[in-house]
Amino acid sequence: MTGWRLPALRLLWWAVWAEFLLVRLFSRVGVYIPKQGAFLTVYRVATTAGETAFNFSLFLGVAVLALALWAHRPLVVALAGLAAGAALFTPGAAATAVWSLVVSVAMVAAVAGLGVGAIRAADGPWEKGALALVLTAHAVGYGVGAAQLAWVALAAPGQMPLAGALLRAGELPALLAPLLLAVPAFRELGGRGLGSGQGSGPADRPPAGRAGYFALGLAAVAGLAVAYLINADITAILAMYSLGFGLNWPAPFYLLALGAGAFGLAWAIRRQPEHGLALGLIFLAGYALHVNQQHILVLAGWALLALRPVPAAVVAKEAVVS
Amino acid sequence: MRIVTRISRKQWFASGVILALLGLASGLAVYQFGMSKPVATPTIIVRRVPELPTEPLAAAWRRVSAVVLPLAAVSTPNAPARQVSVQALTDGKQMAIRLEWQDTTRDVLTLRPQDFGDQAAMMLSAQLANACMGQVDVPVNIWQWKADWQSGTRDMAAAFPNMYTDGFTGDDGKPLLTEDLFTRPAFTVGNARAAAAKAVPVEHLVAGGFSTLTAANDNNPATGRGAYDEGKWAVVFTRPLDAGTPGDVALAAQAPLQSAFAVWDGHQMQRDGMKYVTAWAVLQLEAAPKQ
Repeated sequence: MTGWRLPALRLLWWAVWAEFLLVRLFSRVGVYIPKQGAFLTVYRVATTAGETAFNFSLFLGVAVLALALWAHRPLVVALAGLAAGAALFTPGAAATAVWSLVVSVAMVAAVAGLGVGAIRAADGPWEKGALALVLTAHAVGYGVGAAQLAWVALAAPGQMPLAGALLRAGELPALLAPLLLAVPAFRELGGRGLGSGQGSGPADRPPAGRAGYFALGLAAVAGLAVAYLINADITAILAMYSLGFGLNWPAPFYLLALGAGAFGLAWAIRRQPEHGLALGLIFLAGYALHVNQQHILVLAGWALLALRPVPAAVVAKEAVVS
Repeated sequence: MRIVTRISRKQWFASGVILALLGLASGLAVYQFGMSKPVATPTIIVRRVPELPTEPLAAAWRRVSAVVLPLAAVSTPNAPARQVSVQALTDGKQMAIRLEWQDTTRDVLTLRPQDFGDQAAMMLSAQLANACMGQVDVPVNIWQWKADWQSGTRDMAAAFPNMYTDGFTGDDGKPLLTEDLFTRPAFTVGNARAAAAKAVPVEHLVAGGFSTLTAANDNNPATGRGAYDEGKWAVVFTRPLDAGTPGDVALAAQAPLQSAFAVWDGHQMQRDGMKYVTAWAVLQLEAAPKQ
């Protein structure tokens, strides 16, 4: 089963990209396209393709999560499985406050458990730091979300103190994480090699096309800068609806984070595909998560980072012993 | 044939599974079987009370739970609205939804071309829809409160205290023009948007996809009122629980709605699509007590 992790993950990566581009971005800019027949037809075909990509990525996300959890300790499997099950099997069209509270608490527990494991398994201090920041952002997002849901469910008067400030503050570690992730890539670009705390095991591949990765990062920065300049309001709305970022911090933070994220992620995928793609799933899921698929992507990403594949021989041996 | 024989059974199996999943995914998408479900998201519970407080600053609102929703903002030199808090109540027939947000300026006059008023809006949908005005199969209701639509905010004398109209009155002091066509043409010809005071400062809109936003004020079930106090706007929207007019969504205990909110800061010249918005939140009606 472990041999299927990477091919399934690659397929999921492209499905999530298709969903991100067609559903989270394209379907929401439809208001600006011409309303003539041909444009509308293209729009409808593209959004249906986007919905297909969403459904496909949801199925694949569950499959990748199952492959990541395969043959691991029952407690870990139960923790992640419970959170995924609660997120997937929502009664009705939308979860009620109590159900959302259950899912939020289950997600906090599962993400915290898997996140700590992922930090332990990470290569070098920069990646450990980046994962710690992403974990902090998720803990704040799910934690404040759960606290607000409990506040409302218990009919506490007024608003929960600091809820808004905490949610805005939670964006900051999510923005800083890509900067740390990109540090090893920058060092590599500068010719410092991998011998500074970054793993250099047999799975590592020597990064090639360094300038190309750097150009990718610069292109991402330029794209967001142009969007800010052309229409900052719509950029903010798209950021909110696609990734859950409110753009409350100064614009350079977001520009740097996007550039560093694109650069660092491309480098990480080239060096250790499974590792890089798992990180990519977490980044593409976003910060303020809204729908079931995003929660599954987060769980799958953390599970892949935390849990190394169990060799088939070990699984067979354990089966014989038991 | 050689290629076919090279493919292992495992690969055949994997290809079959992928194709089956892809077919299922596309079938569900074409028939619009919504797989996307909001979960672990902010949820506003519409609590039941014997009597609805419809005034925005009524003391009763202090006892009601509020959900804080971050607003998508842009970097501006002025302190922008960062969050909106949402409360909701029902008396079993109507629901009242109260929004509160910080705004350092009270912008209610829009008579001059350079003036823009503060506004607030909420969008309701039976299902998760695209943010841009819903979808063909998922209509949305939008209620938009406008500060300049409340009474007394379109008074020319208040906006231009030193106004003098030269040549429009005769020597006897009587106006030469019986209608004020030159100074207030839109008002004179009966443009609803230029009316001095609206009976309801809330516009009722329905939409079923982009470019379909339509004002439905003839059967407007929504009312509302805003009040500014200590650097904050508070606006209460009120509407019957039942869908009163075609295109309206009904709120029932067993079917939570999707809701999103927006506020405009007139001081920053915000209007139309230039606004602060929240992501979707669930609006859940508290079940009726068992008799």
